Amino acid sequence: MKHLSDEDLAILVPGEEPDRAVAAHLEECPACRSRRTILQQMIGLVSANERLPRRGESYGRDVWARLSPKLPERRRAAWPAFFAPPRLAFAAVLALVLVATFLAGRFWQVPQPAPLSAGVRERILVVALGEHLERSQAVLVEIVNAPGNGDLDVTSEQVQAIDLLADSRLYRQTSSQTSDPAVTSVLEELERLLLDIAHGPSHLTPEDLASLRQRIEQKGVLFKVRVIGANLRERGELPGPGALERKRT
Amino acid sequence: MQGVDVSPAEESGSDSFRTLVEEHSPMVFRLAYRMTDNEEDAEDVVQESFLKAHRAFGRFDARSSFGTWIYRIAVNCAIDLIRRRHRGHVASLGSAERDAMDVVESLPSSDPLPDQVAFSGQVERSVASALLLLSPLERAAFVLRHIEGLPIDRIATVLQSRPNAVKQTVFRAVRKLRHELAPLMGAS
Repeated sequence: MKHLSDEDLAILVPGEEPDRAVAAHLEECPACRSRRTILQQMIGLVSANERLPRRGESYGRDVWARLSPKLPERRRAAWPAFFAPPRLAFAAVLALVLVATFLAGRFWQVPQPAPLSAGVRERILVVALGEHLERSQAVLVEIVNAPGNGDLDVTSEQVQAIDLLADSRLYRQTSSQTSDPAVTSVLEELERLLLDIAHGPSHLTPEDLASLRQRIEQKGVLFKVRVIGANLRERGELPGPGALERKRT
Repeated sequence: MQGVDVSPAEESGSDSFRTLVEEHSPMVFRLAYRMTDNEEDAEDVVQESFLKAHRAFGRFDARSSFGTWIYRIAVNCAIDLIRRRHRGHVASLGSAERDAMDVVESLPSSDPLPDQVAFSGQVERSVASALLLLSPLERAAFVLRHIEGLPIDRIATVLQSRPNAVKQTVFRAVRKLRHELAPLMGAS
């Protein structure tokens, strides 16, 4: 009989139903039950002996009282992104368009537009991917070229990295189904770096910065991102470098 | 609300954020204290976490759990703070070992303590020093799993990791604690 590993036992929590196979094994194996009991006793010892300072019922209000003077004034209510006014406006416009389309369809026979061809869909993806790579490249270049002689505030790079992360996942997933595996692999590396930047400290010490730069340079991510962008442009599918910036301005 | 001044932020309509702060503060404090083992640091983590959450609130997806999101921010703030604190204190040793040595050095002499109260104090200190041997990530994973009782999937979301990686991290934490606390297990 194959016994449960220490790893299987280490994650078990009293009161939570374990995986069916683990539960079945524990049921019939006294040795594993005993190992589990010993681990649970040790974990119980830790939780029973933690020194957790008490906080009163008004703690939440106290935290708010200390926090609120530090909060920047917001012009509008802090809407969660899903219900943000621009999205609501977009939804309203979309609803109007749908109603208009429905009414128009009642009175006119409009020829159905041809569905997008695979080529067009791929081109849309490639253009979007190119823009994404250019924006990501800009964040990495900022960090690689930042002065390393004191603490560095990377809040704005963090905000950009957070924005880029969701897109990055989407492109990686799409790319893994449709593109060259090399592109997928670079997108994976890029995503890991963006993740580190997004959830790392907002002020980097010279050591943090050096370590982050080393990671960027060691994996050659910046170089690979540039190469992919250049390859896409060579195929005539992307505008030249800086086009995104020009489009924004 | 008793004893709370109306702030500019509140006037401008962040009542929903205020409610979230009041609701989740105790939970964030508990997590922050368990990770930093220091009351002042834990309070700093609470403030910093909500400040960061406020800055990024526009990007919070209302379909997600605010609890998981604020946990994630708090864990990152606590890990940052632990790393900063370690860098500031000693430069030569590994961070976890440094903290553990500090605690061990601050323990009373190893003469046997006669009464139960003193013994329980010693157990408490040994548990604290064992926890300090964990890396910040191991401590976060252990606390979230075994003290807060979160499911592995949710911990993976909080730590922005994969469930299998979380299991490995919890396992490493448990193994270290078991090794450190083995002498106590018979005695307690």
